Amino acid sequence: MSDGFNSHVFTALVIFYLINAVPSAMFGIALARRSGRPWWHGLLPAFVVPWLGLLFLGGQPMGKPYVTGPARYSMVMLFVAGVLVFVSIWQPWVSGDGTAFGRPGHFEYSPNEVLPVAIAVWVLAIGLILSAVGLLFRGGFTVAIGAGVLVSVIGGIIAAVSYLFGPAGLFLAEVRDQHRNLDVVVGPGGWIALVALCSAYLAIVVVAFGLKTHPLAPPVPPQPMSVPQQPGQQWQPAQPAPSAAPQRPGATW
Amino acid sequence: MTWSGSDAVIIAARRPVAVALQAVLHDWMVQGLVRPCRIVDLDSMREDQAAVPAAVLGPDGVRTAPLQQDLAHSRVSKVRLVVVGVVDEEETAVAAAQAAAVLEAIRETVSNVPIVQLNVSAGSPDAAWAQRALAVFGWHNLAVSPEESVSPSQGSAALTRSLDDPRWLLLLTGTLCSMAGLWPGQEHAPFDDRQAPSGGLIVPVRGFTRSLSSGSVQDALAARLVSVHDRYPTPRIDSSYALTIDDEVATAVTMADQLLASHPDVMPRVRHRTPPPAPQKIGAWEAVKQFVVFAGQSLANAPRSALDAIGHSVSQATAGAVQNAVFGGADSSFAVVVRGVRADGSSASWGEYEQSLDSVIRRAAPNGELEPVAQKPQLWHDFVDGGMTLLDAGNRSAELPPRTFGSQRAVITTTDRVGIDPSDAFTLPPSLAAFLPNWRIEAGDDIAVGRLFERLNHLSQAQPHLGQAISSEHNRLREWANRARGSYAGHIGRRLGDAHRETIAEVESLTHLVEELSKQPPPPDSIRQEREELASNVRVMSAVSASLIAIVVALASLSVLAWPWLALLVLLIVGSWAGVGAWLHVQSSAREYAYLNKLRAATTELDDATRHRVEALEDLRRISRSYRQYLDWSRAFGAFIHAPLGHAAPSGERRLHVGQGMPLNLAVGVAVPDDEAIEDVANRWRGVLFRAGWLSDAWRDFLADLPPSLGNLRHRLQQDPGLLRNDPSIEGVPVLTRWSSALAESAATREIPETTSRRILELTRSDSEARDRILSRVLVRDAAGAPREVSRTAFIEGLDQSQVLGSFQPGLFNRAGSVVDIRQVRDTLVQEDATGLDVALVVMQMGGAYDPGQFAGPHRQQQEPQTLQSSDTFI
Repeated sequence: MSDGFNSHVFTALVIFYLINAVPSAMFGIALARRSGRPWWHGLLPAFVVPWLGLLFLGGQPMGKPYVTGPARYSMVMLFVAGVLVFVSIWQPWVSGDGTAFGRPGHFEYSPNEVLPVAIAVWVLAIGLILSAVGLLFRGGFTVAIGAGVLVSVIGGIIAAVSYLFGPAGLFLAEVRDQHRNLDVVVGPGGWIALVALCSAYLAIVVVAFGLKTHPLAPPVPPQPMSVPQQPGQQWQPAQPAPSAAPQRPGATW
Repeated sequence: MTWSGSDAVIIAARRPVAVALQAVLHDWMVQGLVRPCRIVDLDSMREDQAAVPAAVLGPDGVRTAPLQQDLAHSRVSKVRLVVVGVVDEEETAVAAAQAAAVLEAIRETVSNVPIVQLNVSAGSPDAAWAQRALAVFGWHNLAVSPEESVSPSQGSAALTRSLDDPRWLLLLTGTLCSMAGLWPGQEHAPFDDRQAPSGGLIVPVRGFTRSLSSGSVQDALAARLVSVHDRYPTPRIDSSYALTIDDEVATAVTMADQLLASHPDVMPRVRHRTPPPAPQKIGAWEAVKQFVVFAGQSLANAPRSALDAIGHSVSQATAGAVQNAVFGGADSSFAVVVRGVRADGSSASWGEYEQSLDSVIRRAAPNGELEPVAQKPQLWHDFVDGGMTLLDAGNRSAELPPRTFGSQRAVITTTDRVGIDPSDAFTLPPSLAAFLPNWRIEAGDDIAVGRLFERLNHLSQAQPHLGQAISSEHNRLREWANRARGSYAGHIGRRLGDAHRETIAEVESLTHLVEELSKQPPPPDSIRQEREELASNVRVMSAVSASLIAIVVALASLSVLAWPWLALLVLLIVGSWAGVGAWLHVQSSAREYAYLNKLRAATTELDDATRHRVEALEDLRRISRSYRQYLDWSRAFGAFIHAPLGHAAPSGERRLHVGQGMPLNLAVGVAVPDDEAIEDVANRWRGVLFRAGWLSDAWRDFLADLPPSLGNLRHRLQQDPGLLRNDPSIEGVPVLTRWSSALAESAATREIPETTSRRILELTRSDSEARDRILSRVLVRDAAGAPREVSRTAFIEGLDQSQVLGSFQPGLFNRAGSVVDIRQVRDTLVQEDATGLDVALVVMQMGGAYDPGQFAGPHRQQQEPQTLQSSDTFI
């Protein structure tokens, strides 16, 4: 392996890391604020150790979860992103001219043609839609973190691979060979998927700030029993209750 | 100004004669048999003193005063000077200088008043007439014949003695009274219009008098005519009489209702509720515009301002209402307003009541200022007119016409069905008054009756052992109050009292309502949450839409989408954003406005209740004032209609003490009231006195007759009658209250107004037939002093034949005289005058005019008759 390749790999890892660290940090900040800690208490571990750092933010208050504007926005955008990803599956992601798979000429690739990619894209699409549905019906950080991990990891992989091998490197091993001279361009499906991924990424960045919890009411202490009347007061006559209606002057008699 | 005076009679005589005359005249004066006169003792006059001492005889007794001063203080239209000399003794004969002195004193005092000068000589038969009888030029020189006779047609007997004989003295006094016009009923004296004979000649005279005093009859007749305390006469209308209404209660109540219907502003006003706002429909474009505005506010995070503003205004209204509601409950002024009693349970006066009410209204009114209560003089004018119309069928007002029965007017004849006698007050027996002090209820005070019922109920609970007494008083009070309620004035009091009670109940109810509405809960959080939720959704929608547009733009930029698709999708996204957003906004706003309308309705209800309470308090203030003025006018009106023409003097039969020892010429009688005759005449005159609308004049007299107990207010009311319309408070007491109380107190002693007396007098003068009927019985005393009732015909028997002349007794003349017919009566003057029912029949017979030498007794030295400064210019 050449030094240049190694540096590119490192850069790709950094890209992967950053793509995961940013939404993880947002989740960390949100969890820290929800538990009443300073925001940077959540930022640091979640950024340094993406997603795993969130484990340092346990002890969250109990309560009934609900979502607010950012979470709703994320829910919609995740759904939109999932639909776009589905749409992109049947669109050519890359196209080019050259000899690929032993056949010269023009070629187009979509995820359906490469099993691992197809699995990843399908997982991404279904995951995005399920995340949206999950946020709609259940809410809470579990679904959101799952969606975040899904989008971040897949997005990070795609970004890192694209950085290393270009957009077509996802599909063609030949492309990864830098000695091949292929003229490859991103197709409509790729762009749709990219836009969808960006939208989903934006959604998971803000989703954490829309997840709230209604604190549970504290338990009511038992009421003391009423004090019975002292026997010595029982001889007193009962006072007549004052009449509620005001006394009227006699109009007739 | 017309100066109408009266006749003044001055009798001058020497001391023995003056004393004797004064004694007799004083006795008669006290018994009302003669009119006032003055007696001058000629022997008390001094040359060095200009003042002439005189004894002034009046009904109140005798007082001594200088004659000039007395005349100067009196309104005199004519003076009759009678100089009386008794010829039996030198000490009783009058000198010419003495007569001249008296005449001069009178002329100097009342120089422009005509003087009738009578020079009267009297004495016993065959006394020194020729020597001592005074003859003065220009005077009526008269010699009273010493004889008595029943009438000119009957025989006569000489009175042989003079001053020492009471019979002679009474003859002289009676003749002097006839000459001077002193008998009651005598409007003119016989010599007022006669020319004195020329020369110093003396005319023999004799007089016959029948004086009939009718005071008892007058009083009885007046009492019968003016007494309407229980029942009223049916008034005369043209040639017929008004009818009597059978159902008096219904008629009185109807008239009272008509009065109040013509013055609707007295009663409580109708409360108007604020109408609910009409629902507002908005179009699609308007909805979109509102949504865009809302979206802008949502993005700026200020969508709650409208709700907060409404909530703020509601809070302010609630706070104001709570502030106004604090006077309910234990507030002392409010307790007085509602209960009308003080803390000790006694009845609060209307002054205290109005003061407490003003205090409450000041706190409840928005600006805390009170305008003066509008006076309603027309209401009370109509109130009086309506009551009078019920009684006299007068046509006074188009709104309150006389009642009719068919085509004929009809009246209520029972006085108590129209007005209530103010003296008929309700008081508690001492056993209960100890527990309930100061409870004296005026008749017609419906509100006080209701309050006393309350107090009695309260007392029966607090003092169970008084239960039976309280129950008895309950029934008595109910019966007494219902009697008043069935009258015209009482029904008005009942209507006003009902309005007062209803308004108090309304004030209490509204106060309770204001307190309840003031506790309006704050706007629920759901509305605010929904608004926040919508704002949040709009923000999400906006962000999603912006993101979608960004996606589409990005795809178009990456050549994934063609530009037409871009435009179409952008339009679709924006349209969807606006449409869905507007729909959500309208849905949310509908719920919000529904709540706000509910909130506004509650606020409006609170505003209405607060405003209605202020209106009710103002109504209560106006009704309280009207009710207090009703009590005042009802008091005055009740006193008036129970004695519209005042009260006649007590009709005690006058006693006749004179008669014994009276000469036959003179007879004094007293008319005896005959109930049947008086009733007949009263019925006959009622048609003249009581015509339709007759009460109006009586009411004017009643208003003008202000009792002295009013003090300074009397003079202020005389100067400014408008005070009663304005009803200001003087020294804390309203003028109407003081005026009506004084009138009610003085009504029992109010005399018959002068106008009414004058009308009755005119009737007695004009209706001789009625006069003869009611004067048909005369009480006289015979010569032995025994009372005897005779007919009027027998009383005047012999004096109604004026053609009989007769002749004088010879004792007055010189028996050896050469004149043959010297004793013949030459002229007979018959005078029958009547003032009211007092009748005087005077017959004066006169002989010829003779020189004193023709009379009895030794002749005086020949001398010319005395000349005392000619008085021709005065007669």
